[in-house]
This record gives sequence, C-alpha cells and structure tokens, in this order.
Amino acid sequence: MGLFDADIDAQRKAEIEATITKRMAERRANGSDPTVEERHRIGDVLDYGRTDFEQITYDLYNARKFVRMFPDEAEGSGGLVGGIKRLYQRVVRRLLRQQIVFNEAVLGVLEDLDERLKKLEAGDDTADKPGKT
Amino acid sequence: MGGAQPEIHQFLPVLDAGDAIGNEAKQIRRLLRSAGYTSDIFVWRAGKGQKGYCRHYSRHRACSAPGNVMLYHFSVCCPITAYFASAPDRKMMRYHNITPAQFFAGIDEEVYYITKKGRRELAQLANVVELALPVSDYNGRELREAGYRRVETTPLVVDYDAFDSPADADVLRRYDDGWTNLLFVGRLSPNKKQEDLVRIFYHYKRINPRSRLLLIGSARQVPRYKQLLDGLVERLGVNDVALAGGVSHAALVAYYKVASAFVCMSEHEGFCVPLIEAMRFGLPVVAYDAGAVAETLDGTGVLIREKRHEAIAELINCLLEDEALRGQLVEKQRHRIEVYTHASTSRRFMNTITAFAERKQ
Repeated sequence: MGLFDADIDAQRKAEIEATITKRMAERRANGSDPTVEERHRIGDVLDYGRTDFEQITYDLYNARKFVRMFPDEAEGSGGLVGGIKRLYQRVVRRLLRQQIVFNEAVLGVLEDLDERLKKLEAGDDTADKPGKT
Repeated sequence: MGGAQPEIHQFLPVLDAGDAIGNEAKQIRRLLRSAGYTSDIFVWRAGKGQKGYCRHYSRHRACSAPGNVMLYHFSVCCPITAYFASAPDRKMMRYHNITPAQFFAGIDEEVYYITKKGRRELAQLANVVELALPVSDYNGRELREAGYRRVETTPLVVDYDAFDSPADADVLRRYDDGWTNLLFVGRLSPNKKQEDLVRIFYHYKRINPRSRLLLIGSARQVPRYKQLLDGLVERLGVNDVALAGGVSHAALVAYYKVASAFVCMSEHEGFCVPLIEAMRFGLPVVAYDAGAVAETLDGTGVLIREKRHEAIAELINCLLEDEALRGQLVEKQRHRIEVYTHASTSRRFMNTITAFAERKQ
C-alpha cells in the first residue's frame, strides 16, 4: 500500500511517489530532517491531559454548561432532570473546592518563594539551598 | 391529496443555521409541503435566528397519531429520543452518524458523555424504528450492527446550487492574491484532525512560502480543541494559518472560491458534505481514507492511505504544480457530483418517504 490512491495512470502515480521520495531524501542529504524538528517543536502540546490546572478550569466550564443544558420542563426526561441538575451542581461545588485548594497551594509556594527572595536580597545565602521548596 | 393523508414531521436535537442536518431538514419539509403533506420541524433547542423555522418537540403531542409519521434525524443523544420511542406514530430514522466517544476523551468530558450515550440510544431505538435511512452505506453498516432490520441508504438532500450565490467581498479581497490557499471546512473537533492539517502545512509552507491554511468551522462544540490547535500553531511557529471559525454562507462561498485545494485529514465522517461542496467548486480533493470518505469520493480525488505529513505536503505540491494532473482529477470529480444534484437526491428521498407513509402498517 502506497501513500495514496487516485484514478490516474499507474506509471504517473509511480512517478509522483518517486518524486516525493526523492525530494524528501534531498532534504535529509542536506542535513535537515523536518520531521525530527517538527516533533521536537510540538513537544507535549498534543498531549491532551497534560495540565491539571487547565483541566479543573475546563471541567468547571463544562459542568456549568451541562447544568444549563437541561431545561426543567424537558419532556421525555423520565423525571431525571432534577436529579441530574443536583448531581452537576454538586460536581461544580466539588470542583470549586478543588480549585480553591489548588489556588491556596500555589499561593503558598509563591509566598515561600517571595520570602526566600527577600532573604537572598538581604544577603542570606542559606535561602538558596537546594531541597528547599 | 385526500384528507386522510398522514402528517410527516421531523425531529432533531438542535436546528442551527449552516448546519448540514438542519439544512436537510428544511429541504425535506419544503418538499413534503410541496407534495401536500402537513410537515413541521420539532427540536429540543433552536439555534440563533432559527426559532421561526421550528417548534419545541413538546408541541408535537397535539398532532401525534398512530397513522402519522415521525422522522428523527439522529446524530447525538437528546431528550427527544425518549419521547420519540414512546409516541404512537410510525417511526423513521435519518442516521447522520455519531462521532465515536474516544476522540473526546481527555479533551471534553461532556461531549464524550453525550456521544457515548448517543450510541446507547441508537441501539435502544432499533426495535421501534420501522425504516432507517442512513446517508451513506458506511452509516448503514453501523445501523445493521446495532440491530436495525430495514435500512435503505438515501443520500443527503442538499441544494448545492445555493452555492451559486454571491461571495463575501472582504474574504475575496483578503485571500484572492495569487497565494496557494489550502482549505478545510468542518467544525473544530478532535475527530476532524485539524492538527494533522497544521502539521502538513508546517511542511508545505517550507516548500511554498506563499501559501496559507484556511480552517473554516466553529469551535463552539469543543472549545478546548481550539486551544490545543492554537498551541500547536504557536509551537510550530507556522505563519498564515487562519482559524476563521463559523462563517456566513457568503463567506463560505468566498473561501471555496479562493482555495487552491481541499485537504481533509478527518478520521471519522458519516458522509462529509464539504467534499461534495469542494468538488462542486472544482477544487482538487486530497482526503484521508476514514469513515465514509472513500464512499463519498467513490474513486475520485486523491485518497490518502498513510498519514505521513511531510510526504502529504510534497504530494499536494506535486498536484498543484501539475496542471494536467489536477485537471484530470477535477474532471472526474465533476462527474461524481452529478449523483448529488438536488433534483436526483430529492426525488430519491421523496419516493422512499412517501412510499413508507402511504403504506399501511
């Protein structure tokens, strides 16, 4: 199986495949491999679950959207609307609490860093010890 | 038409302007009304500016009757499903496919849940739907696997002639400048794989610096995917990527007019209307072989078998450099879209739906 299929003359298709291979090989012969560079640049940007902080904010956004999705009067909901709303309001509350904890943790780190910076500026070298938060 | 003629009503979760399902529902209602049937569109939610075209599905109860027909456009889970299943009317389903939930895992838990639940609802309706009308054989296979007994593929009823309307002057002014414009039309969604288009363009831009990537489609459903794409564009440092969002019809016409090629790397499509639209505008189509894409192209265009971004960029360059090859492909595409004229798709759909409605249970 090649790179592509098209309703064209088999010889023309083979020529195109050969051209593609040749051009890519030429680039590599010149010491440049764009695929490696591309991967290096992308890093973890396509790693969907990489940042918890973003995720918490995003879950909050989703939960709010979900609560708004279900109008009280929706027919055919089998009486589940109230329950679903309460469940998602609980999720929102929980996520808000998580975010508060997270923010407090971040603030704690920042305060500690601020304190160390002040000590360093005052000439206390022990504040720069490795292992300290 | 006699007074005992059944009423044929359509149901869909959301009626949005510019949406393929909503457009088809409007076309079908127009055809049914022209044929003398009483026909309305019932929705769970009306999109912006669409309230005049539809009614809330709770209003249907007043005209529900065992001899009438309900046509449910199914694409996602929705409170309408339970109402549809319990109503005494005869039931048809128009199946537009549901994006597999795994595409949304880790990106949008809400859409993950909705799509997963949608598959469950699809299976639950197998025993209540008398006739299912998938828009492609690919969708038809899914319905049979879900337990549907009567399945007849009928192409989407779309008025492609609506694209003969004036193009947005601003878009033409901005992009009709001799540069190569690679175009994709489709909502920003992980299954549509706009990330692959950005990666292909990263390589193509090195081959042809006077080029752009135009991505048309709303980010509303999965806003986090847009964040990821923005991050990707920034990390790659690639210029001239336009994420235009949802656009007006006039702007869409303009984007097709300024485009040099239509590139689709989607990994799940139940039909893919933009492929037909691109063919109608005479654009060479380069599309990854997934879902119903190969069926929609039916041997025309360029079907990508392997996602090797750099090689695809080179392939697009070969295609755009070789005028004779491009002409040959576009000519074959032109023949392909003859199947999808408004007259032929309307006739086929109306024959199916009226035969069903007139036949006694």
